Amino acid sequence: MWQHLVEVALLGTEKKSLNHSTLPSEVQAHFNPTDTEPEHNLLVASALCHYYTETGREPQRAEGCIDESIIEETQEVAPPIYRDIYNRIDSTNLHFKESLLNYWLDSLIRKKLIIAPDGIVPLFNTAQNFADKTKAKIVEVIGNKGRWLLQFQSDFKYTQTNITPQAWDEGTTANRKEHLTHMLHSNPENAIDLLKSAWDQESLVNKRGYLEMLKAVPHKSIVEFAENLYKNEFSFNTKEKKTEKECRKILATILLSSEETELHQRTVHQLKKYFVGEKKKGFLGLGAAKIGLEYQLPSDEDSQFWNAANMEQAYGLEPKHYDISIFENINQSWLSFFIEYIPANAWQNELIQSHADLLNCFLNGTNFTVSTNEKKRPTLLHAFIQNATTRNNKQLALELLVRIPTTEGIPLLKHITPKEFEKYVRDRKYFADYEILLNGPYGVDESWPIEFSEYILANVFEQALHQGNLNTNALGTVMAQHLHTETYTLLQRLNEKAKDSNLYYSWSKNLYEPINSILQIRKLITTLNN
Amino acid sequence: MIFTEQQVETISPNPAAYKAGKALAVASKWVTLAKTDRVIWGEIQGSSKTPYQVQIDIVTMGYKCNCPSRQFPCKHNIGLMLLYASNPNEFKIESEEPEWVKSWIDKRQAKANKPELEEITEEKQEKLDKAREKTQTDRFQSVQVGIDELELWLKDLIRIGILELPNKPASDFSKIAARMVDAKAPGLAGWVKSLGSIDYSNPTEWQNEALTIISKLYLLIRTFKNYENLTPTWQITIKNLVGWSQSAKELIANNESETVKDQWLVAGQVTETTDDEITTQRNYLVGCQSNRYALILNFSTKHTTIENPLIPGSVINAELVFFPSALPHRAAIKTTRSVGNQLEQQPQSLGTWADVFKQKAAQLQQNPWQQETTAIIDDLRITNRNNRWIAYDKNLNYVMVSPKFDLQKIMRWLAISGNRKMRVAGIIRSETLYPLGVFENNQYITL
Repeated sequence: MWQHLVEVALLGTEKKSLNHSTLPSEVQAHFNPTDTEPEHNLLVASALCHYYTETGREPQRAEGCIDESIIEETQEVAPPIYRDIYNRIDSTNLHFKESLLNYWLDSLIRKKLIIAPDGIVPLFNTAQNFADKTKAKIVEVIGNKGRWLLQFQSDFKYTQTNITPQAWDEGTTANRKEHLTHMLHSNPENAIDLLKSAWDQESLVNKRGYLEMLKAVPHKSIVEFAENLYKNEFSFNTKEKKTEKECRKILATILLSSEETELHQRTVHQLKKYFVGEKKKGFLGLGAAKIGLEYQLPSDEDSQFWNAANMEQAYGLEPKHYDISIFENINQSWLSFFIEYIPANAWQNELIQSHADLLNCFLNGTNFTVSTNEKKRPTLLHAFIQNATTRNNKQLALELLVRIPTTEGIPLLKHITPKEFEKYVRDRKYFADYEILLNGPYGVDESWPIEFSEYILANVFEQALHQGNLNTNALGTVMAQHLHTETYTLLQRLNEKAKDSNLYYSWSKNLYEPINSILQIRKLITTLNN
Repeated sequence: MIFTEQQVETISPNPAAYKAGKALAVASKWVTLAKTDRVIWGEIQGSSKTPYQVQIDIVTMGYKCNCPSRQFPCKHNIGLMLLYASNPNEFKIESEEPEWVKSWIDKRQAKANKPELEEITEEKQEKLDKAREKTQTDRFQSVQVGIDELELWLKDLIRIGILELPNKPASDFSKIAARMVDAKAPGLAGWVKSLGSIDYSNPTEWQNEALTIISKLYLLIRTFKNYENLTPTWQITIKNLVGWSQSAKELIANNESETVKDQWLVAGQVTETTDDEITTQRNYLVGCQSNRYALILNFSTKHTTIENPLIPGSVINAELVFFPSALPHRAAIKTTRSVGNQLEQQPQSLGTWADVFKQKAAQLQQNPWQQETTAIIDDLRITNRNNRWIAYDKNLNYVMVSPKFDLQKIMRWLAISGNRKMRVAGIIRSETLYPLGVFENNQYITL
């Protein structure tokens, strides 16, 4: 019936006529035989048929298996105060949101509470781009209903489906890498077994990718695996591919980092030969003074160690090209590689007895400097910074910090102890330098100690109200994040004091308000925890 | 009335305003916070010298703020409502309001109790009636001319065949729609526009949809041409469909209008903004005792705000006046006595989808141009089938959830229900369900 009407309408009444007999008798009964205009007849028939169908329409029946299991909660729902705090967290600046949410989640988890069902979806949305660690906590507080809900919305990206044995066997390369990373951190031995089992079937490019991942995890089984590959599959071959050489370089970095490997021992032995100087004898020799201590790196290739063949074959290093803006010759570029990957302690010998000696030799000497914009800069500084940060060498980081400009040392601040960091800030009066404060050895959700917090707050207050040349916005963010909650009273006192100042608006908007609101939230959560 | 967060979010003009308001929902940001039994108010320091004065009528729902924002409600109103929702104890109870609050709330109450009516002399009335009659006659003639043109256009379409419709430029439809607006038949313009906005990429769907729209529009035209023979109620219904608007003020003032006093549940709100920046807010109300359904339309533009805001999920004790129609549905609020959140009695519901379809058929019988039906349906569950969400009843019959329905709201329904069967209020339009809210423990929760 309807299909016939559609066909006539599509072609037009000029080309196709309406066949009344296709219409139901109830519809036919409404036609006036005197109406002869085909367009009118078709439109009336269509309208009548439309209503005929609509009024007789019935709902469709759901076929197949329907899940009728009801999801019940077994945990207690958190009191409304938690929702209020969540709302306050949700309206804070993105800088603070995740760390505050973590406090809040920790409190719920500690008390074995779950959130009310109508809070689940807003929480998913808020935390959509947060770290997996935060999401894992969220999964703990959303109850059975929330966990059941996750299956319906893949956009929330909460399910860690990639970290399954299936992901390793059947997943994409990205899935497999995600799985391997997880394994390397949780159980490196099993991770290596897994990798070994699939190694022969992997492409060369994939192998290089996996080796890069191993580089970040220092573990005995990984070093053994790397040593085996270094000696066999990726040992030098005159017809080798570029990727194979790159694999050897990665393996060399793993082996150089570990003092027990043969490559490390052999390399360090060779490298030490190039130190020259004389230790002062007798009583005075106990001090740091060494006569003429220097590293005599040949400017050209030598037959023993510093030559392209050795570098390429043993370490997968580039035999010809180097960055001429940094290094005077290729030997310096190779030396930079060794400094970056060999643990600083391994350089010690009769002449080099501390990190200070090592740095004095390589950073203070005139042999390893480069002039940029009429300023001399140590060629090997970057390598030392990389060494200290990747190996989290606190002592080396501290030694470097006292020798180099602050701007260059910022990456090192995370690798010194909190006490050393505080001293560094106090000695150099960096209390208002947000970049320094932001990069200290404190996690995003860690507070500074009370005394240090009060020192920062009081000094920033003085400077903000009397000099006004601060980046208050950025400072406010860092301080809100790290100030100890016990500074709340001091903050209120300072704010009262600030009210008469011409610079009150800037203080209030950029410092007082964000700090106050964040401290209030943190205090509220602390109260709930007690 | 104490608002819920969800309600405040729904009445916020946009997510950004809600977020900005949320940031202000902290007691320490307010200079004063106080309340009486009819109003809450607060003062907050903004960018001007003196603090902004923010006030909310908590009995009949209304808000005011003297900030320069054009958004309504502004972020200060939203902040104050959210703060009241989460921490009503932060508001100091006062026995009297300050003058700036009192004058506003007194004025509102006076207006609510006594609708503004201009006193008109008999002579003036006579003049007005004459002028109105002339306007009506002129308009009628204008519409008739427009309708003749539209009829000819539709018949041409059918004679030549609608196969070419997908290839027609959008301007063809806009031109005809504009002509209908010129002919003072904006209702017909809407039908023409809907023909132009069909999704022509779906071959089977567009053919059915286009023929349905054309034939219904044709039926409307023919009915208008038979105007003289229609009953007065049908005459009004047809005029409304063609585009005559009825004044809510006149309707309220008319003692013969149909009025229904009830506890009305504001079951949901759908807001749409057209290209010409007119926002239409469709509020769906259900009478808890009368079991009547009502639609209250509110309009706003860039320069005007909604006069009588309604909060989804709230329950208002009010007298509604219905616009006359073959199937009276659209209404206006005559008087409001109070606004709350507590349902004293749940409205009647339908047991199955089959009952809803029967209701829909009965409504089509009363008014064939009825586009949607509102219903409360028992024991619905929602599930996903082949990437489509369906709501099925206790007999395992189902209706698809409208693809326009926000996925976040589906998730909210799922989170609240935990796969339990629930009583659901919704709109059924084009064979799909647009859910409005769910009932749980004698409470209504908007989605």
